[in-house]
Amino acid sequence: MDYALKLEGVSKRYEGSDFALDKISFALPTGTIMGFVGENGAGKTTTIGCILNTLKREHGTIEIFGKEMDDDARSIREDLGIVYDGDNFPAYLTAKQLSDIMEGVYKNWDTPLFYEYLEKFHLKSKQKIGKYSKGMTMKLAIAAALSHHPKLLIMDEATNGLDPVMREEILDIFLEFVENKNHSILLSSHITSDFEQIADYITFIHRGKIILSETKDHLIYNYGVLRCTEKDFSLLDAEDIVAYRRKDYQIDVLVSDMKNSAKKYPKVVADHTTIDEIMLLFVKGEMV
Amino acid sequence: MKGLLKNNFLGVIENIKILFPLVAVLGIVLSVTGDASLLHIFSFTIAPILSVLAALCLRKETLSKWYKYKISLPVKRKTIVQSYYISHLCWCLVGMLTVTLFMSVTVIGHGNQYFYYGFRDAVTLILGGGVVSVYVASVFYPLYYYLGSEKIEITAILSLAISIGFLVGISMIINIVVGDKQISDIEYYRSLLMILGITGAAFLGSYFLSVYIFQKKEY
Repeated sequence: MDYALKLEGVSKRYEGSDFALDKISFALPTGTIMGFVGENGAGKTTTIGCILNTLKREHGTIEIFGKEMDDDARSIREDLGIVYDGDNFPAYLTAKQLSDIMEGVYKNWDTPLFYEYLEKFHLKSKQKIGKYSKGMTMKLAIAAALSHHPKLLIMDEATNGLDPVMREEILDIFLEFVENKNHSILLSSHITSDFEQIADYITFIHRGKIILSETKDHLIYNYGVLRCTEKDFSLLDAEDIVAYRRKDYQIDVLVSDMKNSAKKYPKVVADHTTIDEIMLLFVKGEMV
Repeated sequence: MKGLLKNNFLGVIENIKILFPLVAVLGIVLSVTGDASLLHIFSFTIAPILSVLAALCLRKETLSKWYKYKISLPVKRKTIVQSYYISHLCWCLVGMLTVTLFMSVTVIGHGNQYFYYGFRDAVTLILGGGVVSVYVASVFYPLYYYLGSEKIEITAILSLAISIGFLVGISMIINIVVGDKQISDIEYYRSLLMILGITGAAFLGSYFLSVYIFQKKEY
């Protein structure tokens, strides 16, 4: 299998902070979309910083299109589209000026395509970016990220600030983008409903550690939640429990093979789960 | 590089818009009055002020994630630093050209009464502002990369103060070496060349230092 992005044993510490990325590994197969999920402060932005070389990792390897990306690797960066959370571009520019700048930076900058996106997103080319709303700045960043024909999009909370209608439109654009089998997307977010719509793979990060990296279908169809009483819970085999969370009168138990668990524990209610619920169980719950 | 230079230009232009009418008014007053002190002040301040404004445009970049975004663009970190130094030199030249323009009008209108023992010609006066401006860049950029954007205003003021201090210091050393005797044209221009040489070396050294610091920085 070809990978657009592959991280192996990546570690990063910050001086004076308890937080650290702890030997994280995951791989994004070419032609797919990976949802990178985690609570605020889990390490999503740090991971993306390490991938893009804005942060220096201490250990591990990161390969983009099969190569390590150092400061000299301009050809790799020609094929990357980046969207950061918040304001990506200075407020004093207009979208037109931004296009002029990008034209002088990217070999494959496609001005007509950029203007097509501006029109699609209802963005005025001569308005100062500083006057844009948050949603508009995100749309502009997505337009800029797509307008040099990248092969890999890396987006850090890119759908934040978008209303549901625009979010849907943007997600459709992402799906259109990966119709080309050489294109891939790493999309970090804590809005997990986005991933249920478009992601092929889901990678969970929690307190600087990757706790799960699976196909979305595997998570949705095989993972499940057992709604247990205290007594039911005491009868479960520890090896069946991925994570659990105590509520007032119930203990939710995440299992990785719902069908088997349902057979094994017929008296316990077994439900299909969502990415949101899995995240909550990992973040708020406990692991055995 | 072309895109980065364009970005720097657009950033500075916003700042210059405020300065432009002021420079124009000062230049016109100078041309009309022909005041010698005003000519000296004008010559020594325009290029450095432009430099400080060019440097301060970095502040606006850091209000967004653009400074981080740039690192992800297909340009080396070295090229990003280079673009600032080149832009700075360009604005320094714009300052010197502005001074040249108004100085020419003043000299044509009021006759050549401005160049005496201290400043023997127009070139010295024009270069004086340029030298301060180049020193501003030499001090500002390494400090900016080292201290970060939070202290950018202090960095800019500090750079200007150090630059003026440096120029005054060099002039004092030359005066001490030369003493009270009247120096010949050859000695005068040799000193001027020496100052230009030191300025150029400082600028180049500062560029390499900025690249070194920036290569190690995390964002």
